[in-house]
Amino acid sequence: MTLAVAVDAKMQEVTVWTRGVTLAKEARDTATLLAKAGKLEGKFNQSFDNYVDLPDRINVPVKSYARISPEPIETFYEYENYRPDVIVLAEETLVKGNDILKGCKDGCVVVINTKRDINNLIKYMSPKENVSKVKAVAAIDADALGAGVFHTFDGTEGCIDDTKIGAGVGAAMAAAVAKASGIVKLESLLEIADNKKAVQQGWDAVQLVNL
Amino acid sequence: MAKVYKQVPFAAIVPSPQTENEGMITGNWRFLRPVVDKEQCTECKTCYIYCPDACVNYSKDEGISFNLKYCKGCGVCSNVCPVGAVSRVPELDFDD
Repeated sequence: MTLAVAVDAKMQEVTVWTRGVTLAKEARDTATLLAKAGKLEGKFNQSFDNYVDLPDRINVPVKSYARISPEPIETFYEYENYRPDVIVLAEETLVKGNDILKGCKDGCVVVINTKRDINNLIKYMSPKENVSKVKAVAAIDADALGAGVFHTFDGTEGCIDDTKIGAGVGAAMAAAVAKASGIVKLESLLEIADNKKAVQQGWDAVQLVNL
Repeated sequence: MAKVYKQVPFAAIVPSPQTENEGMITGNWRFLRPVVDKEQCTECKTCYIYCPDACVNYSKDEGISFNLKYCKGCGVCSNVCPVGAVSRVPELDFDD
């Protein structure tokens, strides 16, 4: 696990936490948008979903990942981000009862999709010893900015999903991540995302609290 | 013949679990917590019967209570309650 830091010293890792099935597509969009935006800026990237267990159950906490680096990424065989720079929560309740800060780097940024006051959410973050490593917490009410992809539970999920990348909640969240962490530029996100209005609104509406 | 049937063990019996598997604690799946209104509750125990994870407890003194360590927040209890005594409250409204 320490090998990757030695090999990919400049790699930045983004972990997007989400709820299985209902919000999984939006988290995948966020990770994909960030990775593709990085590619437009001439960076190297990886983006993938959780392979570690079988997460396809409704409302189970699951993760999507993105990696962006100015140098070719040589981390191929790690299927999780063990040292995230940016932690995104696609749903606010994930802050409670999940070890979202596990292994985070110094100066990491947490972005939460919430309408609530961020200062009330900081007390839930765990593990507690890593809270001091958090540089800033950002809140974005992405649910109000982009409509979520509507899923029916009739077994056709995926077959009928012809929405583009970044049509819904994921676009606003990616913009919030870009502003809070500076990992990619707004222009590159605007070029890729389907819902460009949500990207711009997400960039404008994000609230940042420095710890 | 009845005697022969009695000798056959009933199928699919597994010993009841003795320890907890940390990976199977499902309380963090929940984002809406079931809260029972003791005033309205008639203790009919419909929620006790319907709960898919046996997370509803009943005692004569306490009435209906929920095992929040394993409750996934599926909302079946709220849906089947005939008097509407079980409400679903966002998890972040609680400190614990």
